[in-house]
Amino acid sequence: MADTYFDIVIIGSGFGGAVMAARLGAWARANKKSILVVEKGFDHTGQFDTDASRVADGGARNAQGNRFKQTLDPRYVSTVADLYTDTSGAFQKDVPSMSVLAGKGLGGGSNVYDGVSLRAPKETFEQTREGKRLWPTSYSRELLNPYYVTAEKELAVHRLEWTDKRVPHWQLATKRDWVFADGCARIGATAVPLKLADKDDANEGWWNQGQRFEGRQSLSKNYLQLAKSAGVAFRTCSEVDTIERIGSSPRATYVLRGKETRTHGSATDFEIEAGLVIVAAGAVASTGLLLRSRAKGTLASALGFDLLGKHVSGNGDYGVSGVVGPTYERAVEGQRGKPMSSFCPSFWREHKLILIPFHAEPLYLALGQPTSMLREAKGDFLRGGTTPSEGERDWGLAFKKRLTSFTTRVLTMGCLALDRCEGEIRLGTNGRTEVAWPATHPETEARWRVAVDAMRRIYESLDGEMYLDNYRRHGTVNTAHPLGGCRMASSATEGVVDAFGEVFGCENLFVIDGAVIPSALGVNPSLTIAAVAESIADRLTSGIGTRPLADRLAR
Amino acid sequence: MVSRRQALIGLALGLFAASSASACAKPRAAAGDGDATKPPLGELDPLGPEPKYRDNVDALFDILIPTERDAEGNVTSPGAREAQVDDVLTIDRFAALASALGLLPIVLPDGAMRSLDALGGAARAALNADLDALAAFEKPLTPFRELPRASREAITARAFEDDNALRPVMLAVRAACFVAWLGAVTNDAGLRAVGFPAFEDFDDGLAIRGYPTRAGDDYTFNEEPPGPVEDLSLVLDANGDLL
Repeated sequence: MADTYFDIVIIGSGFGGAVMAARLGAWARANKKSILVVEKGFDHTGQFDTDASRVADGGARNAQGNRFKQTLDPRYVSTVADLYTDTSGAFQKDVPSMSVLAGKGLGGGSNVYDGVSLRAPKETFEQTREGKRLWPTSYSRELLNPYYVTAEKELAVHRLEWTDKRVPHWQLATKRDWVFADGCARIGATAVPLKLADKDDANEGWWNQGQRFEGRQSLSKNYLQLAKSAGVAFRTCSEVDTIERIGSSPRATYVLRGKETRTHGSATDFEIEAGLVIVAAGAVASTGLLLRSRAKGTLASALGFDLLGKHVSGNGDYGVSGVVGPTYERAVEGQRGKPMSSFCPSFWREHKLILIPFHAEPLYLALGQPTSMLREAKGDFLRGGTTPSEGERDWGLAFKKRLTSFTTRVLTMGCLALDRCEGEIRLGTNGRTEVAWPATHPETEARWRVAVDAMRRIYESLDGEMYLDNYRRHGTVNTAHPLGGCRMASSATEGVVDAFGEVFGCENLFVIDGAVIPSALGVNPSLTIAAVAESIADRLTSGIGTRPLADRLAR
Repeated sequence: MVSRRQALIGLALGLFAASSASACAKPRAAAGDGDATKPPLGELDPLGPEPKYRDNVDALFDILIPTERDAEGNVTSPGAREAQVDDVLTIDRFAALASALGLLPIVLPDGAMRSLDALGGAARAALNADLDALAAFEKPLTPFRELPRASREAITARAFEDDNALRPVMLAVRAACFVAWLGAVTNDAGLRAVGFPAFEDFDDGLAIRGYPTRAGDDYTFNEEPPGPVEDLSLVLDANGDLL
């Protein structure tokens, strides 16, 4: 027997779940229906003390005689950890796989994204495989444009500029991006300022640690506020383990079983019954939930799921690191400014990829993956002996001197490209979700080669050097933009969900997040996921093209 | 079954010397290490005179990211201790945090992670004891913190090479040092040491509202980047999106 019943339960609160909670919340209030959002992570809303007056006035002076408080302060840092997913379940050394960075906590991916908000280009929606369109015909850039407009308004998306002639000063791209643009120009390409979900940004940096002076428009500032004000209920620290279908259409309901976790590991089981379920836990987690439910037999009879877990894209992510010449020292500071604020579209038409420079926080140069990759790298990558040689210590005076010698010249950049959705999400032997990447398609490889070559030339044009291009080590693809796994399609033979996100053969069970995106986008996906969710919410509430919500929830 | 701690103590006392010869072989001399307490004639010791350490872990901080001092003992380049790494070790579940942020190079088993929960307390005490046990090989009855720097460096290197027991703790402490130093938990000493400007200075009015108050601190150039600029009209629309 379920603990409680809700008309609609949304699992996850990222760009899919938050939009659905806001839009269906408004509808539910008017129609006297109940909605619950179940979120695996914590609710961090208000935990980051970003009020400038409080920061300026509070606290004793530190050893430097000022009141410097930044966001790796212990007051913040333990909650920041909860904003990231544990990727260990998705990464196995020496097994071709995809390592995924994804958000966690109320707001999902918006807790860790860099705010980049570009609309997906027209060609994205027109991609075909073996003559068949990947996207359902009801999706195109033109048809999504009104929903992009709505999402951009809610997320406070602004286009940045190089100068403040036409925009306020906070809307400027950073020095790091100016240097990148200089490098692009030197190789015959052009960089332009990005569109960002950003507001009144002080260009202070520290987005992922929690800014002191705001800027990033995470979902807690917009869609989730709308949902809360519409009366949507929230249950955090609660992870749904399985979904079970009870009864048969049209009277079927769903029982969600999971665990509610509180600090230091104590957990209690819960059961929630719902008339309609929207799975929106992100590409990996949503697919994993359906895979688990199928494996445990709770959804087996209802679903074919032949393509469940297939067609997973890393959105063509490929990052490199390098140093720029001494002329640009301290113009590419890793932790300062907006983490991303320009991109190079020059390669899009011919190669279907864009280049983006991004932040390289000093701490990660010392401890993060780039350094562990540096240790594994062979050869002379950096001029002036800045690379730790094999077996050399990564601590002590020599390492300290080395860090000092190049930290202020590090520039990282990466590409986003139309890959071929080579990945696959599956359950590992330990029951955890894994993301395999069996082999890279030659077309994807070719795009990455073009991108890496261009980025190498940019470094060299800036009198610098690319020292790391083995981002894809041990056969592992790294991505912050996982897409697919529950691909949307026109029929059950081509996908897992229909154009509205409803699982084929499983009425009132929806997936609406990155998992349903049927192809790489070529741009950062958050805005497109939000626009797709906006369009589905619009059609569900109005009943255009599908059964209206009111019918679906009649009991 | 011999526990890790018993083994360490045993090793220190020489009880397992024969069977564990390879594990406790004489530490390799670090390049140019020599006797750190006595710099070669004509060379100025860049690290200067050492302070009195609170405990072995405090001395370890000064090995992992050393403080550099002049001959009079004035700090010329701050290390982990000046960045107040002690504060970081007291962060609740620091090791889990470091792992989640990708700051530990390995994925630790759950059990190892739990044992690191109390890095500010029990785990620190255990590390203090472990370092003393290792120090006993260098100079019996001498605490780690009182050994010459070269010996402490050698012991530190060995501790990092420890197969299972000590390595996770060492990695977590190393992570704490760098989080303090470059993550600027309490102050910006480390960031300034590697060449970044002061993050914020309320006395000087810098960034007090989040905005730079001096032109040199503005992280924008406020000017068009150099050209030439392509005609992007076939790629971008008026809003800055790809067509």
